[in-house]
Order: sequence, then C-alpha cells, then structure tokens
Amino acid sequence: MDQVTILQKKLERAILARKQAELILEEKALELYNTNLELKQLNESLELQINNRTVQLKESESKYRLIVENATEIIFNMDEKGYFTYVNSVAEKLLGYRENDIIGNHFTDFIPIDFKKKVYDFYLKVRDENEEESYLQFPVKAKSGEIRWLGQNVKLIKDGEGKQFFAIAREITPLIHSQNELVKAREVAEKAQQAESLFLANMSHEIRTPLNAIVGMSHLLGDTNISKEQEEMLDILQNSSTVLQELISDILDISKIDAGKLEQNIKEIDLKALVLNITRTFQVKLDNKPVHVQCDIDGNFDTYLLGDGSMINQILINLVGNSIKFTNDGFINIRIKELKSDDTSQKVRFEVEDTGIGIAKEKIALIFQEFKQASSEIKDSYGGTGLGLAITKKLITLLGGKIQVESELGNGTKMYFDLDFQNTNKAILNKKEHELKAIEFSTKNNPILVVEDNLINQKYITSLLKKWNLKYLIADNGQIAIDLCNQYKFELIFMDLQMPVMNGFEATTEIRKSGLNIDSTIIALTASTLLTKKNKALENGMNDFLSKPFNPNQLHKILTEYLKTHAATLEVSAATEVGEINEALDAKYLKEVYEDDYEYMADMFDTFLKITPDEFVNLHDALDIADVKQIGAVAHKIKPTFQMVGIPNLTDQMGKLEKAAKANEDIHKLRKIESDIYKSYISLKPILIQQLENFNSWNTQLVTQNA
Amino acid sequence: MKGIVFTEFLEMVEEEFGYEMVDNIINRSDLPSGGVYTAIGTYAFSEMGMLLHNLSVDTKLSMSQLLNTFGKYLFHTFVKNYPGFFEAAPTAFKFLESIEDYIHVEVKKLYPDAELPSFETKLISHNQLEMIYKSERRMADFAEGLIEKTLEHYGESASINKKNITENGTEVKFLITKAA
Repeated sequence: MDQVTILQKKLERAILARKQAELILEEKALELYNTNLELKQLNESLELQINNRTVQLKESESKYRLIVENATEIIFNMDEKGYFTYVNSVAEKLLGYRENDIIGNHFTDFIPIDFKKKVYDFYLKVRDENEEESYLQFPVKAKSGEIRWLGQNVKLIKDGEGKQFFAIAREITPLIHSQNELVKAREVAEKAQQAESLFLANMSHEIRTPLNAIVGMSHLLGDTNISKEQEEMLDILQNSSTVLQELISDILDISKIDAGKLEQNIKEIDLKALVLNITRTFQVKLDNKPVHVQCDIDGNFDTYLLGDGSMINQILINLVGNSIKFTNDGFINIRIKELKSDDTSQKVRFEVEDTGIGIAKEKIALIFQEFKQASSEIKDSYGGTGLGLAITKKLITLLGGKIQVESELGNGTKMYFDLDFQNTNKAILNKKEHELKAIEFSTKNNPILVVEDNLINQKYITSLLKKWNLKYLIADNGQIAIDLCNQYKFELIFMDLQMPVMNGFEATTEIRKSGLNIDSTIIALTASTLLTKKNKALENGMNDFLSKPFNPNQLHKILTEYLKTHAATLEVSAATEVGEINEALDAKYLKEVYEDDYEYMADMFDTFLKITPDEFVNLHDALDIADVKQIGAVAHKIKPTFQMVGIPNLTDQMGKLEKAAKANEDIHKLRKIESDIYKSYISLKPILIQQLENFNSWNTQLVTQNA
Repeated sequence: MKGIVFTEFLEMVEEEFGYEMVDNIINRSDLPSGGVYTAIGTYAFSEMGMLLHNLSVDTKLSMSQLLNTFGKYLFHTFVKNYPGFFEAAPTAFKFLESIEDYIHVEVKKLYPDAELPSFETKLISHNQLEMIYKSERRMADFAEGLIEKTLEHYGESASINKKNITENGTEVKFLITKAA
C-alpha cells in the first residue's frame, strides 16, 4: 500500500472521529443544558425553603427575645467556668449594670465577699453533681453599691460539646428584709419576755421580804391585847397574806422557768424512794380526808437513774396536790412504770390518777394556762392561783416530757407523762431496799371534824390541830360533813356557816337528827360580827361559836373547854429545834423573818447564791470603767439581799458604797469599799452553802418528825 | 473503555511502528467502531483486546511487553493532563497510596462510567510498599509500566517484585522495595 493511500485512510478515520466527537459533544451539551435546568429549579426550591426557614427563625427569635426582654426576672447564661455569655435587660433595670458590664465577667465579681465561697460552691455542685435544677438565695452588689438579694434557679444545659448554666433570678430583697425584721422582732419579743420573767422573779423576791414582815408582825399583833373587831381585821390580814405568799411562790417558780434560769440538776436518784416519799407525805397530810393516797411501782425495773430528782418531786407534788384538791373521796394513785429500756437509757411513765370531780373535755387545755382554772366556780369552791398546773407543765417540758390528761367530768382524772433517763452505772451496786412503813392512823381518840370551804382557813386551823397532836378530818362543805358524820364519831365539829353545796345551819340540823354525832359538840365558825347570826347558830343546835378570825389562843381556849378529858394533851408544844444556825449569820433576824420555815429559808439562800455572783460581775464591770452612776445603781439593787441571808452588816456596807457613789466620791475609794465587801462575801460563801444544805436536811427531818 | 485509551494506544503504535501498522491491526480486527476513535467516546474493551492481539502477532512482541510499554506511554499523558494529582503527593509511595482512595474517586466523579481496577496498598516499612492489583481486565503489566514510570517521575529507584495471586492474573501482588 502506498503512502498516499495510508494517509488518506488516516484522514478518513480522523474525519469520522471528529464527526463522532461532534455528535457526542452535542449530546453532552444537551445533557448539560438539561442538568443545568434541573439545577436551577433545585436551587430555586432550596432558596424558597431557606427563605421560609429564615422567616420562621426570625419570628421565633423575636418571640423569644420579647419574652426574655420583657421578663421580670433576670435571665442569663454563663459558660462552664462561670463567665457570663448572655444577660437580659432586666439586669440593668434591677441592678444598674449594662450588658457590657456583665458579659465576659465572672459571676463572683458581683457577689459580696462574705458570700463568694457559698455561691461558688453552689455552682460547682450544680455543674459537677448533675443536679437537675437548683435554687439559691444570695446577695449581689448593684452598680450603685447597694446590696440586692436574688433568688435564683439554675440549670446546667448541654450546648454542643460544652455545657453552660442557664439561670433565672428574681429579686427578693424585700422578702429577705422582712424575714430579717421578723427574726429581729422575734428576738426582741423573746428578750422582752425574758426581761419580764426576770422582772417578775426579782419583784416577787422583793415582795416576799415586806410580806414576811406583814405576816410576822400580824402574828405578833395577834398576841397583844386587841379587841374582837381588831382580831377579825387581823384575821383577814393574815389570810390574805397567806394567799399572797402562795401566789408569789408560784409566780417565782413560773418566772424562773420562763426566764430560763431553771436548769436541770442531774444526779443519781431513786424513783422508787422518791415516789414512796411523796405518797407518805400526802398520806400524812390527808389524815382527815376520806381519800386514800397510794402508789404503784412496777417492781420489774431498775429505779436507780440519772435525773433531776427535785424537779420530778415538784411535778409529782403539784399533780398529787391538785388531785387532792379536787377529790372528796376515793383514792389517788401514783404510778410509775418502765415503757422501754436499752443498755444506756430508760423511758419511764409517771401517772397520777384520782377519783375526783374530773374535768370537762373542752376545759382540759385551759387548766395548763397561767392563771386559768376550769371555771370560775372552781376558783370560788377550791381557791388556788391557777399557776400550779402551768408550772407543772413547764417543768415536764423542761425535762423533755409532755403532760397528757384523761378525764371526764365527774369521773376522775388521770394525768401522765413520759421521761427519758440515762442509766447509772452505780445503780446495781447501790441498790438497797427502800421500804417505807405505811402510816398508821391512831384511832385511840375520836377525831375532830373541820367543816370549812376556805382553804386558807382549813390550813390555818389544821396546822394548829396538828401542832397540838390532834387528829382531824376535813370536809369542804356541809354535805360532805353529813356523809362523814354517818361514818365516823367525832369528838368535836368546827362548822363554818357559809359554804357552797350545803351551809352550816342545814348540815347541823341534819347531823342533829340522827346518827353517830347526834350529841357531838358543834362549834360554829363565823366571820359575822352580828349577834343575831351567832344566836341563830345556837338555836340551830350548835354548842358554841368561834369568831373568825381567831388566834391560836382562842382556838386553844375553845378546845380546852370542850375536850375536858383530853386537856393534858392540849399543851402547846415548844417550837421544834432541829439545829443551830451558823454563828456567822444573824440567826435572830433569820428566825424573825422566816420563823421555822426551813424550806423557805433554803429557797432564799439558794436564790441568793444563784443571783449574787452575776450581780458582783455587774458591779465589777461598772467599777472597771468607773461608771459611778451604775455602781450606785447595782449597789442599791443588791443591798437588801445580804440582809435576807443573815448578813446585815454587808447590807450596811453596800449602803455605804451606794451613798459614796451617789456623792460622786473618788473611784479609788469606791473600789476600796467594794473590795472589802467582796472579801467578806467570798469568805462567807462556803458558810452560806453549808447552811443551805443544813436547811434542806432540817426540813426533811421536820417532815419525817411530823409524819 | 474510555476513548482516550484507544486514541493514545493507536498514537503510540503509529509513533513506534508507523500508521501502516495502525491501519493493519484495525483492518484485521473485527471492530464494531470500525476503528474510528475519539478521546471522549466509550468503546468495548474487547476492541482493545483484538488490537493488542494483532499488534503482538505482527510485531512478535509479547502481550505483556506491549502492555508494559503502553503503560509507560500513557503515564506521560496522565502527567500532562492531570498534574494536580502528582503535585499533591510528595513521594512515589504517597502517590501510589493515593490512587485507590483519591485519584480513582476523582476519576469516577469525572467519568461515572469508567471501569477502574482496585489497588489496595499496605506500607510494610518506610521503604517497602505492597500493592494488590485486582481487575477482570488482567492488565497488571500495564499497571507495572505505570508504576515504573511513577518511580522514575519522583526520581526514586526501586525494585518491583510482581507475583500473580490468581493464576489468570485477575489479582496480582506488587512488592515495591526502594533502594537503600
């Protein structure tokens, strides 16, 4: 084949290839055109979608912004480290900070220094412990420097790879302020209440001294030659003083508790002995009332415990005393039993149950309120200050218990409470039998019946009868007297004329009709000065009358006259001497003021020993800063207390200090006087403590002797 | 098979043996395309097989030798037309490793109907690379020519050990060891 032919063939193929390529390219161009068309449509559709989405986003964002910016709360975001990333405009309204002041700053920059750690720890906890949502109240510094309180809810939210805090905070400054004010107000109120109690305690204390003088002097006055009329006046004076004394003693107790001055004195005690003692004491006191006082001690538990024996004693005495007051016949039962125990502690239930008049359900809450009794009739018929049960309740609360009452009107009353005690290790070692013999009532002579509704009069007449070793029973009204007269033969009956339920005239008429006491001597007790009334008594079958108020001699005279056969037993016994008062103390003065009431003396000494150290602290403080006015005031205040414990010369010296202070004398001189007083006081203190113990033991001896 | 392979092949035959040889192998082969090729067209692989066979008969050169030579020839076209692929890889090994996961992926984007072999690579050590060629076209010799040219392009010298994994050559292992 020649070269030309070959080239021709090559050319032919090249032309064909070009045509083929053109064809392919045309196809490709068309394809490209169509693809472009599709792309364009796709693009348009995408753009439309984007536009729609953008509009939606804008709407939702502006809605969100509207909510956030118009909220009343501060809404903010912080990154994981605590730097602000967003805050709404409320921050500026509430705190004065612009967005720029906050964003990028750390939250602790806005917290007062005292709270930084607390708030920091809170956020740390929210971040690291995955708390769902947390609330915290804390103060922030406003731009003006003011402190504002915020209450804030915070939540940790996941934000892409990181986390951030989302928080809503509300201003609570007024709330916090009112809270603080409430706390302050409560403190003020509590202080005021304490001050009131303290004032009452001090006042009661101060009132006792002159009152003692009234009691003492009226006794002395009774021994002088006075007219019948004066005697009656004196009697009223004495009765009123006794009521006042009881009232003050109760107020003193209650104010001591309220002022928080009463603290538990935990010692090893034997509950069994304690209850037996109370039972015995009341059995003695009750000799003349047809009521049986008994105790019921669960024998299966260890009654040696650690506790405040004197408080429990006072509680039980109050409860039993209360029961006796409202029980005319039947029994009073003091019961202790163990509720549960473990190795270290015991729970004990104390119960006092009586067969008395009972309490209406709706009055139960009332009887524990101060100066409240179940009804005004109760006050008229039974007397009392209305403080006894209030004191009891407070004491039980102080010991960690709660008084409970089960009662029905006319069906007796049961009061009980539970206390927890620690065991004493020595309990087992010290255990010994505390058997107390039951008190026997000698029936050799027939007893005397005292029919009298007034408790003070009852107490007055029976304490004299007791002193003269005469047995007696008490009836609170004429009806009870008749009941008793049907059961017992009485040697002599003292009959009050005006009494509730049944008066003395009716009772006498009834007694004279038939029965054991048809011939018994009946002496009318009357406060009336009218002769007609006295004659009426005689007409009604009474043998004689005794005008109230009467003195011990007058009573003695009547008794001597009508109990001829027993004249020998009626000699007035000498005052019981139990021990000598320490010679460093003014015994004469003490006896004059307190007579032989060692319990009363103990109370006064105890109070003196408790309050005086604090008063000396006050005095020393005033001396240290040379506050002459205050020195005078404190000296004046404590001056009389020394006399009351038989140290009259310290009262005089304190008077000197007071005078010197008021004359504005040199501070060195004041210090010298005080230093002498203080030295004497310190040297006398052990003697006073010893004397207090003696009084307590003498008092116990007397109670035992009388029993 | 892409038209460019045919046009390049025939160009090589013309350069080496003259257009008479081109005309000769076209005439002796039963080609549906009639031996008219354009770089942008697509033609049956069997046409290439027949052209190669007839060339081998006429030149007395083996098929594998011809394929190897064609590989080397085509390499220049690749360098000229697609310099980006070579610039992207700093060394021959890097380039060879990029064929399967980069170059062939890009080629597929450009020519969705292209039928490409697979090249699995494994770097045995810093100077030794294993390549496994897999294709029903059994053109490992063509690939070898390309590899040799690649090493040359990067100025690297290496020995190439070629071993059939399947007897018919659909899977072939190349062990390329660079001179120390």
